[in-house]
Formats: sequence, structure tokens, C-alpha cells
Amino acid sequence: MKKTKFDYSMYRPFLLPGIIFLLVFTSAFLLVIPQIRSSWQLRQEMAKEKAKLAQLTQKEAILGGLDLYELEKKNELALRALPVKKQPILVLNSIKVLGESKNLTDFAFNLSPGLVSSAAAGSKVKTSVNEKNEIELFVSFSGNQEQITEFVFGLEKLLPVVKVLSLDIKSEEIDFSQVDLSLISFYLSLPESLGTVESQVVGLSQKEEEAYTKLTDFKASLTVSLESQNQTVNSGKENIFNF
Amino acid sequence: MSQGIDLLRGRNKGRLKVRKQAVKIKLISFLVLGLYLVAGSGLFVYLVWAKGEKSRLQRSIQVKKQRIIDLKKNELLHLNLKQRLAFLNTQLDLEQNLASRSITTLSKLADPQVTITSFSFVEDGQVVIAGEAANALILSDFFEKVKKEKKEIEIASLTSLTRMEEGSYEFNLNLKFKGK
Repeated sequence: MKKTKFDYSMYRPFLLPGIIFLLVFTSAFLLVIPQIRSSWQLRQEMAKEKAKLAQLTQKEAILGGLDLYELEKKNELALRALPVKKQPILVLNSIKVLGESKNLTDFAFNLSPGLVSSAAAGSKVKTSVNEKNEIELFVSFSGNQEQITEFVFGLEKLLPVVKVLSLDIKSEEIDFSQVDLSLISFYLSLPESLGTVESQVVGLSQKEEEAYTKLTDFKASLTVSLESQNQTVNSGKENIFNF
Repeated sequence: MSQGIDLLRGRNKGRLKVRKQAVKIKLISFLVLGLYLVAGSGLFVYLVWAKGEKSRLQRSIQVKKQRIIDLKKNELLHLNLKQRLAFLNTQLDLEQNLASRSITTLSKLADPQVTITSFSFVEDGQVVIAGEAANALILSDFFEKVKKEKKEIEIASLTSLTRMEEGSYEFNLNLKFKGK
């Protein structure tokens, strides 16, 4: 039998397309697919950076919109209302000055033994400090009903802020009573996470604005420099709250 | 009209079929190559643009960071203020003035023969008062007045009442003052 010879020339036109397909697939696997992967990663990174930029722009806009003078003024009041550290003596002195301005008599105070001692041994004030940013105070004084009411009104608008817990009245004579007052004073240390560039800043809420407006009605009975209030241990760092 | 006779019809038929297929495949391969080149150059252009865009974004971020660092004092003062006002807002009801309100209201309602001896101010406008009245008639009159004081007092409940030997009464009242 005669062996038929295979005609390769017939398939020559397929050579070029074959080479093209081979090149396309090889380069796609070796070059294009890794590039697609890296462009996808790049796209994701860009999306993250765009979000970060938007966040920083927003933060910059909020911070840039703040008036430094107004901010310092507001901070001064806020720090007077809520001192950075426990200041029982400042609070007691403020209460005493307020009481004296309302002509209350027998108004004396000291601190309970163990915390701070006072020369005014005859007075009936003691304090206990708990962990809730509060100092509990017990004060006693004498006066008539009008004076007592005015004093309580004054306490509710006093700087540093105090909250009246209870009031016991012992009438000794007609229109003259001895009052035992229990109240708490507050303090709040500075924010712990200050000034991290990427942390978000939220503007004052409506309620916080309202709280500030209410606070403007409050008055300090004592003029105390904020510098003495805010002095902290010398750490070598700038104290930006030192006005 | 003349018509040629194809003597090699069977063999040529196979060749013609292969040739037609080869043309088709060649066309498809050129099309694929063209598309591949377009897509490849598109990808290349995108990568170049994306890298440029990324470095532009990074520069912008650095500029913003620097601006924020320059505004550090504003940020710190703002954070401190916000923290304090939030605390005051949640921990204290600055406008409630519960102590002065309750003293004023009750001294207005109480006859001289009714003595309020103690006020305790609880959360949410609640005040617990203790007092003494000279007799039942005066006490009843006082309770009636407290009940009618709708402007300031929301709820009033008597928690204890004790008659003393001399005929006077000691009482404890729980009052809920209206919020401001």
C-alpha cells in the first residue's frame, strides 16, 4: 500500500495566528495579570487615601473654623466650672465667700481628718473623695430662711460647679435655722488622647452649646487665677491650657 | 458560455476549506492582538495615571497633616471644651435648679405651722422632703396645696406619716418636680 504523505504546507497559514495567540496568552499570564492585580491594589489604596484626605480636610475645616480667642474664653469658663484636679479648698472657700455675701452666720468649714486639716476646728465640714470625679462635701451654717434660699440660689450658679444633694434644717429660733448641707463638687482631668493628627474632631453638639450658654450665667465667688489651677508637674512639655 | 471542468475537485475542496478557516483564524488573531494591545496600553496608561494620582494624594495628605499640626492649639482647646461641656451636660442638669426651686415652692405652700426639716435631691427632679405639722388640719391643708401645685410638682406621694404624743405630725413626702 502506498503511504500518503501529510501536507504540512496546507497548515502554514495557521502559523502566524498560532504565534500571536501564544504570545498574547504568555504575556497575559506573565505581565498583564500581575499588572491588573497591582492596579487593583493601587485602586484600593487610593480609595483609602481619598477617604483619609476627606477626613483630614473635614478636620482642617472644623479646626480652621474655630476662633482661637473665643475658644480660649470658653475654655477659661469651662475650666473654672470643672477644674482639672480635685480642689476641695477652692470649692470650700468659694462656698464660704458666697455664704458670707449672703450674711449667713456660723459659717465655718474644715476638711475631715485624713484629707486636709484646717485651723477652723469648730466647724462642721468634712469631705470624702470617691472615684467618680466628685468630691462630696458637708457644710453647716446658720441664717434666716431668706438668706438660706438666696444662698442655695447662689450655690446653683457657683463656679466651680457644685450640686446640692441634701439640706437639713434645724430651727433654733423663729426665723433662724441651722442648716446642714450635703453637696458634691466635680473635677475632670484633661482629655487623655490629645492631638493625634488622624483622630476625628466633632464640633460641639447642640446640647453642648446649650450647656455652655447655661454656664455663662454661673459666677465665681472667688477670683482665682487659672494658672494656679492648671499648674501640673513640670514635665518639660508645653502646657497649652496655660492662658 | 463556457464552463471548465474541475478535475481535482475532491482534493481542492479540502484545501479550500482549510484556507478559509486559516483566513478566519488569522482575522480573529489580529483582532485579539489589536484588542490586547489596546487593553494593554489602557492598563499601562491607567497605572501611570494611578501612580501619579497616588503620589498627588499623598502630598495633599502631608499638607493637610501639617495644617492640622499648625492648628494643634485649636484642636486641644476644642477637645477640652467639648469634653467638659459633655460632662456638664450629662452629669449636671444646669438649668434644673432643683434645690432652689423646691425650697421656694414648698416655703410658699407651707403655713408657718408646717416645718420642712429636710430636703434630699435625687436624680430626675425627685425631691424627698421630711417635715412636721402642728396638727392634722394644717397638715391636710398643706397636702391639698401640694396636690394643687401643678405648675411645679408633677407627682406627690406621701411615704410616711407619724402622729407624735403632743398631737403634731411628722411626715415624709416624695415629690417629682417638672423638668425645665
